[in-house]
Amino acid sequence: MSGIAFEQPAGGFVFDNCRRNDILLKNNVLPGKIHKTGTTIAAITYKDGVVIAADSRCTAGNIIFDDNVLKIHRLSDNIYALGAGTSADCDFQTRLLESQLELLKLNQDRQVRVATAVRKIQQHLFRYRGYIGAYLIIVGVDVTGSHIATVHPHGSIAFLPFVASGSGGYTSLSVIEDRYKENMTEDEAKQLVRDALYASTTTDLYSGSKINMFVLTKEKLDKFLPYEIVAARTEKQADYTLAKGTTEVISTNVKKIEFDIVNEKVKATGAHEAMELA
Amino acid sequence: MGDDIMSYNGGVALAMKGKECVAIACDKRYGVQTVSERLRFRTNLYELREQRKLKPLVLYNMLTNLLYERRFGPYFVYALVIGLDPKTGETYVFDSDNIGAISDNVNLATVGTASDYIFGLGELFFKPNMNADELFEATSQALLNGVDRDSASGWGAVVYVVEKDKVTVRELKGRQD
Repeated sequence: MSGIAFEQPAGGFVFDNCRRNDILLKNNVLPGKIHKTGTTIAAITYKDGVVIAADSRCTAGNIIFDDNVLKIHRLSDNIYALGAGTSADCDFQTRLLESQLELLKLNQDRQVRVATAVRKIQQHLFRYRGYIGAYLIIVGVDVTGSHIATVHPHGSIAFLPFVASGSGGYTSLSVIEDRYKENMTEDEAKQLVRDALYASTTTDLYSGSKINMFVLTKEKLDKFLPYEIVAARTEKQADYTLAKGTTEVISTNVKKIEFDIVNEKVKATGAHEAMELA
Repeated sequence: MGDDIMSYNGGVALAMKGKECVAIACDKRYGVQTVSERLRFRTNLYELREQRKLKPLVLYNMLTNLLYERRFGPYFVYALVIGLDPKTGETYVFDSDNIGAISDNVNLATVGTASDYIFGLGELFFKPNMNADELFEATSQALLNGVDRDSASGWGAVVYVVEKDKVTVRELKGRQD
């Protein structure tokens, strides 16, 4: 029994491989490459709310691992997060925060505020001293207005009217800095964010493919998935379909799949037959 | 600097999607016993507790959770999860890095020492809505030709093609060096 209890996940991180990995590292053995979002993410406030956008490229070193990644994570109905940095950290920390905020909402019976979400993740990241590599932009609309906050892995934060982050962040930020005005219309804001992301997707090697965009106000959430395809994959120039039997096979083994019976129905054919059986 | 830990055991895996079929293939130099045993433990427990077979997305979430638990002392495992819903025919291909990064449901995924080469070949041979035979050839050729340029993987290969009612397992002839 104790063996089984030991295997049961208790929640939280497990550190039992750390010593082994440390020794390996000391002997000049490199750990494998982890996925980075290698991103551009940007957010700006406008008259009625916020516009956020992200590219869709995921890289491991120089390899493009996925060209259709959604880097906009839901935290609650009125709060969203953009993630850059280590993919796994962004995925799991936003998921964790999402569940905490949902519970908070149910307990308090009120919409959660952006400040709450930011403070929760800030304190969490600070406890881990920057080892959780999540660079987040948290945006939302609540009773106090619309907000954008940037959160760094060490737990430092800033509430700003506009921000961009990730490997292409500076490129995007310079475009936004140049043209940002207070109280822009929705169309102006969308155009500015689009231009900012276009600048970085076309120049930063680790950002690319598509621009995904959300527009969030008190009344609505518009999703543009994608808002624009910056660089579409071209059609293949030839058909590379391989003829059947190309590959030399040594042995073949076919396993039938057994199905789960989801429900069984017994149909009565006539009243007296049922009687007889009874 | 030093050697990448991934090249110690070597090995590579590739998964590809077809129409109502999905294939996964690997060479024969891979050993990921601890993680697969721990995952098997959790899936068995799930199936007993829930009294139903687990779906591909559930397995994928379990795996990524298992890997992310060890965020600061990871296993040296890069994983693929494939699946097929027997009712709808929908296919699933997911990948993950060694700390559980979540991927979308993709057309093509590959992990391991030869994955850089296989990505290119896989993209070449992949086309949407392949039937089971086309899918097998595309997957096999992408894997075999990629593996031949990688010293750390090889020694033949195994390809699983999953369809609604059956799984076909084929062993492939490959270089033994």
